Amino acid sequence: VVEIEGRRMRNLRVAASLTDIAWADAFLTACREQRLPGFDIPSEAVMLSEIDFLCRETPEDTRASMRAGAAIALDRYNARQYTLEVLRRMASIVSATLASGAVPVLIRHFTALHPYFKEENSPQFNVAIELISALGTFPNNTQVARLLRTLLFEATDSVHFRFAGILTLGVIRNDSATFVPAMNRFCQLRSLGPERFHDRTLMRAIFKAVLPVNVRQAVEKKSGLSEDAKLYVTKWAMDLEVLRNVFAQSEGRSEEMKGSSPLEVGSYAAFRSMYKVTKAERGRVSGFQEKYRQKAVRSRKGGHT
Amino acid sequence: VSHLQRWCNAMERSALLKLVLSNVALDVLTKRLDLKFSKLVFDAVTDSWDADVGNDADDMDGFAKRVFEKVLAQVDDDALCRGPEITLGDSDISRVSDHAGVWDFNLDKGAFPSPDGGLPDEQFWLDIEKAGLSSGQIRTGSMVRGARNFAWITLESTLDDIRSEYDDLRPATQVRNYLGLDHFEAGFMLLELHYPKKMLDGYRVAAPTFIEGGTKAVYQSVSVKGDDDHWGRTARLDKMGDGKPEAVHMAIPFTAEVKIRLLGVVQEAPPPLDPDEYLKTREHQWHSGDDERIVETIEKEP
Repeated sequence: VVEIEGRRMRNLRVAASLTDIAWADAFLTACREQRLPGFDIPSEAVMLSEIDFLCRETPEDTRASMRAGAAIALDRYNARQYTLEVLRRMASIVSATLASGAVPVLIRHFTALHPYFKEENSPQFNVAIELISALGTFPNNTQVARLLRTLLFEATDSVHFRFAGILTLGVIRNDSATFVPAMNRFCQLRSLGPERFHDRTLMRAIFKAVLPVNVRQAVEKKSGLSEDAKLYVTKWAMDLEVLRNVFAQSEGRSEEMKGSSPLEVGSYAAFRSMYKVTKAERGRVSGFQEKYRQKAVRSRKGGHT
Repeated sequence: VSHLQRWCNAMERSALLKLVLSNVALDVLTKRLDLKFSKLVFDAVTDSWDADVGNDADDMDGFAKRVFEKVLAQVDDDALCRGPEITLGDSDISRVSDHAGVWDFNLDKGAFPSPDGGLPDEQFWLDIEKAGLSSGQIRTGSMVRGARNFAWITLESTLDDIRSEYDDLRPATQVRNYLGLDHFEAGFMLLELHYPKKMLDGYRVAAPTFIEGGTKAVYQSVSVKGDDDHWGRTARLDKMGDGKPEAVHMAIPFTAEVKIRLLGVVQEAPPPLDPDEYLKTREHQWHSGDDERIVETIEKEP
């Protein structure tokens, strides 16, 4: 009887035996030849999952070696010797291993591509997108945060609008207080090509980085959120049910909260009317939204459920 | 004794590789695969067979396996997807894929959030399942394919049947077992890529042969089942027999019309495999004399 599972156990043993340099060699080979030497990996198509598995299942010292190796391998990349695809794959490995030590080199490779930041049809542009996406995996890194903030708020004329989603999320993940200006900027850039953004996944990630109560304040108050951004945020806050608990809390305690809560009593009505506009814009009503509408009607009649 | 026969004799030393030889024998001896393609492969095997190493290697079966893998990895695209042709008609087609591969090769990273834990999580794929994709969110030039320049597919109804049988919307482990995808071990997150109608129009869809199956113990070549059923059959991991339809096609562009559905995370390691028991379920079981018949058949081919 052959234990197929043995393959992964063997791989874990190999992983534990590798030094930082050996990992660097292995990763470089993986990116050049689509095989991880010494490891039993059945297909290049699953290599990233296997690396992710190794990273999750190995002890911390092995994980540290993997990360150091990824950083060394990325540092060894040079455009004269390797293809751009090697750099792209390297960025995926840095991201999958969460190799934060590779961040300065990743930034260096990314900024080296700056002449192509607006050249949407060049291969360098697509690799730059992959690099900035990998950098977005490290939002709590000061260098990354500074770069993302600069690109979003100061240098957007020199980068393509397609960077906007990654930049916005990265900036907000690093500092949720930037939610309003970042969303304003994002909506401005998004309007140049809305089909280039997967709004649902992007907004779910953004909402994970911001407290729901702050989302509510941003859309209800004179927070500085632009009208476009207000509609967009409201629409996704409703669709992703981000504000359900916030409303439930404020409704349940509306009397005692009067005058003392930062959430004004009656703001649900304002929110609802804003949502109505959004709904009209979308031209369709989901089941959840319909429930909210009915709740609002009951609320107007004076009864909560 | 020719190099090809030596290769066969080396392969048959291993119970696992006898399964591979069984597929080769069926495909070659029944001419399930046009002989010119078989000849192409075995001429390359003969060329690659290093008599000095091959005859004296400590692990002759391992050496033979490596030779075969190397040859198949370099086989011309023209020899791929050449098994019995399948007419799809109105059938809905799906493919099972590892989520990291789709993330890495098929999606435009600018359209999606950077993952905060290395790779996207299940919620990410549920959101894509719900909202779908637009063409602007697909990576330029991305293809539907595996490690080699073709892709494995099954009928959508195969996956629906498994969902019904296990009353589970996301039966990743059972799908892995039914389709013989032993490389998806515990922890792999699997996706169903559901093809839009006509996506394969103009492409040859064929039952797989040993050229696509390679050295995988859990691939089996099968004869045509009937006039309207040229599909191959998967080799199940959890039970003998009762394989599901499978086919292959050349790499095709990945489009926004491909619907992604999360199949879930594989929960357990593949069941242990007994090659001798597996061999008993093969339509053609490798036996002595097959090597000579294969050599004779291949050598007759001009």
